[in-house]
Amino acid sequence: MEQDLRKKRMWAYGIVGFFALISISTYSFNEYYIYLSVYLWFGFLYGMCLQYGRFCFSSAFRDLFAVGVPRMAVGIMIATVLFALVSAFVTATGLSTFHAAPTSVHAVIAGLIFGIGMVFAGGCASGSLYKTGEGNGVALMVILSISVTQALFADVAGWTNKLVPASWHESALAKGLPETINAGDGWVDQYLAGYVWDQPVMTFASTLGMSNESVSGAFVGNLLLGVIIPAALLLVVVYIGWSRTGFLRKRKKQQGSTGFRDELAGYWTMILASKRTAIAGLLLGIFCGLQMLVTQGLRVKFGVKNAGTLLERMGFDYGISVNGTVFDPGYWYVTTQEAQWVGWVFNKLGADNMDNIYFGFVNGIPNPAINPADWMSLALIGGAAVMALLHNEFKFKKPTLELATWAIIGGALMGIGSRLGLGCNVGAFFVRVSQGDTSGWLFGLGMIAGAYIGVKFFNWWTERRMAKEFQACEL
Amino acid sequence: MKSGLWVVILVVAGFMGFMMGYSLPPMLEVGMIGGDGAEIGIKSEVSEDMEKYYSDLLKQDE
Repeated sequence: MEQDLRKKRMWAYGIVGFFALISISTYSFNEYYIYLSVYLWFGFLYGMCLQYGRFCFSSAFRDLFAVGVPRMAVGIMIATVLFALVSAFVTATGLSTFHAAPTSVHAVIAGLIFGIGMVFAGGCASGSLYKTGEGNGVALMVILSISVTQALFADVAGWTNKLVPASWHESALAKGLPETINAGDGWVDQYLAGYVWDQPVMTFASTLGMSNESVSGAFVGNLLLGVIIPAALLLVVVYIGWSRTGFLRKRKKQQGSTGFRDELAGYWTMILASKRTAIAGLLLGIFCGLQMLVTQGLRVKFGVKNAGTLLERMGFDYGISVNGTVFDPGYWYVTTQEAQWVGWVFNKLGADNMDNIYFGFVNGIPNPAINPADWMSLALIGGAAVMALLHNEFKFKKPTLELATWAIIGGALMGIGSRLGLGCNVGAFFVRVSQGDTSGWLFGLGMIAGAYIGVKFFNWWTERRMAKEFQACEL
Repeated sequence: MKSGLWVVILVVAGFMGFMMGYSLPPMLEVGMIGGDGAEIGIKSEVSEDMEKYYSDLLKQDE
């Protein structure tokens, strides 16, 4: 036992040493690599936090809807509030790299598809990453499925063009995109340029006429009205629906009667019950804020607005978008880099996927070895692995055929939901809600509804299967 | 386990400290931090004549 722990600790040191070696050697080769190392080390920290806090939206909603345990769902809500608090500081100082997304019903639909997918897969986008770090083979299959589906879906054309409304097609063509981008061909292209881009971009602060960067906009508009009050109300719903009865029953046994003070105590007890996830959320918020700060500093130092310019200066011009950009959010993000590496593989295999908006106009498909956001995701898995190894929670788990099938189906739905919603449970919900972006809540509402449908479907499926098995036994 | 975690935290903190030290001075220099709300960003050395030349070029295109 003791020897096994020592071995695991050595592996943990080995992973840290590997990342340190990459950082030091690439920096000594070219100063610009420090920009990628920033992504690497913050990714590593995100991985540690996710593993520590068991930060998985799928587990949270499955626990809530299937077995009535609200602990992790409450933890995620508290984490969102704490992240928002840190974000308000960053935004008010004008250092945020965040851009709000268009708000419309598309976010709800995207969230719904994503929510169903994450329950089927048994892990959300962030949860699958940290679980892969714990040695979970099913989680790795989920990541592969999300990655491949996104890369295919972003470039889908042919018969899907017939499903595009004429108004989207005309609006997409009217955007006057560069000739290399075929905005009138491809479902996602026309959806983006012809519909999503026409929707309003709003934050809670901007709808109230405040600037996001002002103290009142960041703290009152985006934090208080955009996050704290809606989160508190959602927590009231969770308290009434899943926590209240049990708590009051206990209190009644102890005191004989209960009042409003007991209700408040019950609410507070529910909030405090999920300390680990909440602490992870606070740390994630602090690290995201720090990443924005450091990234902005490096952009000023190198005189660039996007990592694409640095890659070109280093001599890597393959896979850079027509705008000279690559995906470079400057904060925590999950799904786009997963689509990029598969997009890069497809491109190398001969696919012409640089004529679409997602890859060719915005994000590019740089070589994964020099893609900043890919460094972040790989290091995130490494960070989670280090945490799991040090806590003796690392174990290789081979996927069974049944679990692998669900992982692929769920991952595919998450991939589609991510592209429709311009992000996953992190990019489209957690980060957006925390920054006061109104579209974040819409994605979240869809995701909760999707998770509910997913859980109900799973219950029906399991009961049906068990009934069949019992029937077979009786025969 | 605890000592192992502290070793990892120390290494990560070392890299973080280096990156913070690397990125903060340029922001202080251009006034992004502690600049009393002064206009920030990368300054371009374009003269008024040059700006007029480019704006006239745009007019010709129209």
